Amino acid sequence: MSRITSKSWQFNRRSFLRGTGVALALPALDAMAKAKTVAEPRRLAAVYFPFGVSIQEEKSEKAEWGWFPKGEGREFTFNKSLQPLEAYRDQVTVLGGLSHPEVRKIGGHDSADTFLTGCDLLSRDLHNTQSMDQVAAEHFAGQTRFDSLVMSTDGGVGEPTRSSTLSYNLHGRPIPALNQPQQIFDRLFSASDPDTRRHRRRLKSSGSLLDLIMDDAGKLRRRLGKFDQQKFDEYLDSVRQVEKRVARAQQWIDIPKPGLTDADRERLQLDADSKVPTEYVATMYELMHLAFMTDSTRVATYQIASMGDATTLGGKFPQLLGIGKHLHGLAHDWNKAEGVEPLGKWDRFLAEQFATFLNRMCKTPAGPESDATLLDQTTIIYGCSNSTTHTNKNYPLVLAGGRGLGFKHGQYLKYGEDTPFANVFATMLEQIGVTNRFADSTGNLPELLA
Amino acid sequence: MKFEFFTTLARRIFLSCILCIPSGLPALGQAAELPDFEREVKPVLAKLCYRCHGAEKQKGKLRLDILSTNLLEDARSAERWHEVRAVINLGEMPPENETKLTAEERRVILGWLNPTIELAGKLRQSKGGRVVLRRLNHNEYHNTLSDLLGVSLDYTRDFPPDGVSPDGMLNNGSSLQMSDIQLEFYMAAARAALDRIIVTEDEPKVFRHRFTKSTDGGFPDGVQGANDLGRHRQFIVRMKNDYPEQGTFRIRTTVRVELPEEKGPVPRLRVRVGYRPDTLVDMETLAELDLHESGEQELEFVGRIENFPLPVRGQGKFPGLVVILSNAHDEFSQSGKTQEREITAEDGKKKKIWEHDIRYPRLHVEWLEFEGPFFEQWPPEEHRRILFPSHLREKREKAYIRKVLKSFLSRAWRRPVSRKEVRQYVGFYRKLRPEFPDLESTLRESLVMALIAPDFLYLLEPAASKPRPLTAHEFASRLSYFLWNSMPDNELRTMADTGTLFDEATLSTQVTRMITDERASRFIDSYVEQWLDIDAMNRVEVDTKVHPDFPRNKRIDHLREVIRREPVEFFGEILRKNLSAEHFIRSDFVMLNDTLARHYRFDGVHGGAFRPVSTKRQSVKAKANRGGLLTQSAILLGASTGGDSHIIKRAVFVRERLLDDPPDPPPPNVPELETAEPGFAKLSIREQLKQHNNDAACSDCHRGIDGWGLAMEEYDALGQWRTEITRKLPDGKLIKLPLETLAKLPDGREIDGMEALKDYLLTERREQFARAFVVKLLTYALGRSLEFSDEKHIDALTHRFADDKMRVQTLVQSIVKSEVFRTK
Repeated sequence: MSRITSKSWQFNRRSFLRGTGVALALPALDAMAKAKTVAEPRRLAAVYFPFGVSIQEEKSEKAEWGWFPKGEGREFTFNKSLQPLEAYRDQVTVLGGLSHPEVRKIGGHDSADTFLTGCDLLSRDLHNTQSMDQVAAEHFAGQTRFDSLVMSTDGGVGEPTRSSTLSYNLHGRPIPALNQPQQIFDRLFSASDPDTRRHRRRLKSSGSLLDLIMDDAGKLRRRLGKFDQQKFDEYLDSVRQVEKRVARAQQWIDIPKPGLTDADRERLQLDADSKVPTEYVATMYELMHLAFMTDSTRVATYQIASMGDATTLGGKFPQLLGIGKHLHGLAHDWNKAEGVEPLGKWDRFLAEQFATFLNRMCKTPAGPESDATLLDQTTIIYGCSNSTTHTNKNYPLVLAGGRGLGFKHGQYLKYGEDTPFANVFATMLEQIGVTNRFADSTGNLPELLA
Repeated sequence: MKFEFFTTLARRIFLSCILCIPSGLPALGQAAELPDFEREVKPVLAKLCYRCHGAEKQKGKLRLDILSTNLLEDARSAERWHEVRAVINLGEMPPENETKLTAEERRVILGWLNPTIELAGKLRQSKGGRVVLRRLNHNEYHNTLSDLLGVSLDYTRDFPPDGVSPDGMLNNGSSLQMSDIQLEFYMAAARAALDRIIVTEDEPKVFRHRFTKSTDGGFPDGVQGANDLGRHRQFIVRMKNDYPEQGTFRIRTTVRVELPEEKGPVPRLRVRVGYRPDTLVDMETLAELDLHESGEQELEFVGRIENFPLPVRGQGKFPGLVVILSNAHDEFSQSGKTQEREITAEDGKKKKIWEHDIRYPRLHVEWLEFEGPFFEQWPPEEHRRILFPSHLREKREKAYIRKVLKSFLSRAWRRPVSRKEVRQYVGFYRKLRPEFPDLESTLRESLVMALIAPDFLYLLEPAASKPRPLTAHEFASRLSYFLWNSMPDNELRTMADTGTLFDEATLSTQVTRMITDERASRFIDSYVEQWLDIDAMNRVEVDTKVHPDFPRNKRIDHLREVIRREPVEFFGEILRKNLSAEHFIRSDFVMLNDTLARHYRFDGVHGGAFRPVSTKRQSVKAKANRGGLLTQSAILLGASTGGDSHIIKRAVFVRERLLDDPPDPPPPNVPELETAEPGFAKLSIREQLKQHNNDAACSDCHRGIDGWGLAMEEYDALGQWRTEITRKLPDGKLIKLPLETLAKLPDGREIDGMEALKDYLLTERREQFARAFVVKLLTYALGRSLEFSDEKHIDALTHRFADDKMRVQTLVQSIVKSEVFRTK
């Protein structure tokens, strides 16, 4: 399916070229314009939840709460857990049997750190490698205000093996995740809420502060020798970058938020915190959606809860939702008769939230003049690095969106252990034009593509 | 230009010949005999290469006969020469059906190509022999902020790592980058620090607890709680909800020590705080100290609670704040000093207890007090250091702020500040003031600005194209960042203010003071780490099949930590006592604590503190001749495979770190010392190398390498002395091979074993070692790579150093008094 939606872009380029008399370049440009989605931003998102899901034998009494669908290929039916995704059947592919081969060696609860990196953390003195979202972020760097949006319920980086972020930079260092909706919103769109007075004040003072610094620095530069100047330019560039970011953030203060209807505002509960899981998780998803919609970033990750057991703020979500005990305990009961349904309900809660996100993404056009949807232009991986708790194999995974990037959906695909999970990442990265390899990938997966 | 280039090269070779190579010996490595291109190299190329890469044909679009030999000016030709070197090294050229290079021809081409490429690379990197604007590295940033604010928090936790220079240093301005993310981190770190230090709230509630009895224990490590501290008992207390999460805390305790009658082991009190039940993050150690005296003593420990792992309130396994006192004296010994015995308790129940033997040094806790947040007055000291009490504050805010800013700016920027600068900051303050609720929160913002200004983040020495002498304050900073990794203190600062710092005698006194000061350990830690690349040992995983005794559990990998400390302690001892650098080659003392003494088999060393121990006190059975860097486990382990020694790595260590003559980098695709050939794995290292070196391309290089490593074969991967070699075969089986230490050095000299190697280094290579030592220390002191224009300074320093019995502290004195150290 090819959607050429960048008409205004074509027109502008052509008229520009004519104006400057570079007629020779036109044929080549025509060819370029015919290429799929050449001007559409391509996006990538990853969402993670910990401790695994309810996995039931197809013939068991509790089969209806099994996370993986019945059937296979295009002939499959969702069980209760993933039922909320039925409405988006043609936008999702359920992946079974996959895992990171290197991560199979490490402890079940140590694997969240590696969901997007695929490395054997423990043999590397707990030093991680670059996560796949950051490979994309690096590729798109500079094209949007933020290279990536990294979020989690717990925030920060956590501790190795109990990370509270999914994202790792080029050096394998964890990127601190943001966890307060207000803070994220402020960062993305700046605040208009009087509750963040200090932030507003500081944002403002940051602006004038960087201004002053820049003034002085400019004068200082003239007093430096050649090599010092070269070095000092790094500093000046950095100040300029931060200044720009602050300035853009400041501009947002008084500019109405783009495309925010009353319904949007209602959905966006910036005061939500982890004590109200439904609102909180929905808001985090919504922030991701808004970040994509406004093209503030092309890359986003969200970790719904960490493997930090007692410390993860997400640990108490099931209790707060009234469907069972502490998340870790809940997950451990997957094979107990009385444990199946509560865990299934938790799985379903997560699927509902995810479905809402998909809904938002496919109701939003990819750009002001685009006939593609945001979902078509975004490839999303959703899942966990445990199948059942402690088991680092057969990850429960849903690949969603990206039909405009060449993905096809409406399938349940089962893989063997010889296919590394990284092949999915390699495919995603290739379809958004970044690279065709990642970590221990051995190739891409053509069956995911139209 | 071409002419100049070769003049410099010739000069360098000339210098190398007279300076580092004792006369009468063939020169080491490349430096001595650079073949003449026109006379020697060109004929070989003409004979073998020009037919395909000359005027008629240009296979692979390469034409050699007119390829510029000026690699410095002509970067494109330099690239091509790189390729030429690679294909020759790989044996790809000349191609198979053509006449092969003879060994001599290869030697001629590479003998010209290798040094020429290296030199051009160096010259291209030249910064005109001047220090490039240095950003504070993380360590310096942390120390500076801690010294400036008087509070040490983990300021740099989330910072991206610093860049390492080609010479392995972390303080090289050229390699230290800045980025927007980095700047955002600086801004956030400054805000976070100032939010903590400048307080706006009223005096907080202070939590005070007194404990006279341990809880039962059982967590976090299953150890029994008790007032008597022993191997399986520790004093555990916890504060359920009433403890602070911010600020300084103080722990006081009274302990009673009972030492056995004969002189022997002493108890080591360890204080640990915090505990996260759900993660790998264990408690953090607040203090550890040996108690050498019998009887009761009261001790006091102070820490910052934010630096300890705190549990999250209200969670399932929430333990509260945990404090544990333990006796760590024999924690890591293999021989048990306790026995388990079953007793019948008062209530008639049987239970098992651990009993210490008679030589066990006893430690009994009488009581423990916790107080936090702990402050003498409110607002706390660090707040008052910035916002000092003054009558001006209420009456004339602007004047007060001016004084506050002036004092802070000049301390933070390590120089006097101009009225204009102060005015600008006051202006900024006044601009913000109406928007912020109080003086404190407005001031924080002004100080944030000061802390992300280049004047704080960089060692600024503004100077145009011409070199100039440093100002007194720039000099004070160079000095303190050299010897303290931090800002100058008040005393240095005052001397810079008055200009007396340049006075020779004053400067000597100051350097001595600085080296005696506790802060010098920051320099010693960093420098030794970077000079010797101590971290190499942490990149090696010990093969526990070959070395089953090596502690495997990383969380209590105490031996590894102690091994790592040894070179640092050793350097510290030599520097502080102004001993000769010859000790780095051969020494009559070793720096040991109890754990390392056990590893090296020295008797009678008790307690965890490092101290010099005469090598004569080594157990006779141990036989190894300890002393000097080359017999230290840190070095030997770092240059090993984890299972066995790695003679190439060891040789590279000697040449790169001790002689400043690193071998040429191995050609691309150089094969490892293993082949599919059956039986290869069972050959001795000498036989293996012989096979490897059958290839002329390999043997030329290896002649300059192998001997150094072979001479060190008496020591295994862990640095322990051995008489035979344990080799692990590919199938996992262990076999024994005889030890061979007879080695031929590059100059043809045969030596046998470590002692002979030390002798040789201290006689035949003495000058070269002295020069290398100067080069390394000067590189660090200046924070830049040395260049050819530095030769005269290096020469002068080397001569003085060598004539002065290579005394290290004196060298530091000479460096800071040298022209090059005082020049921008």
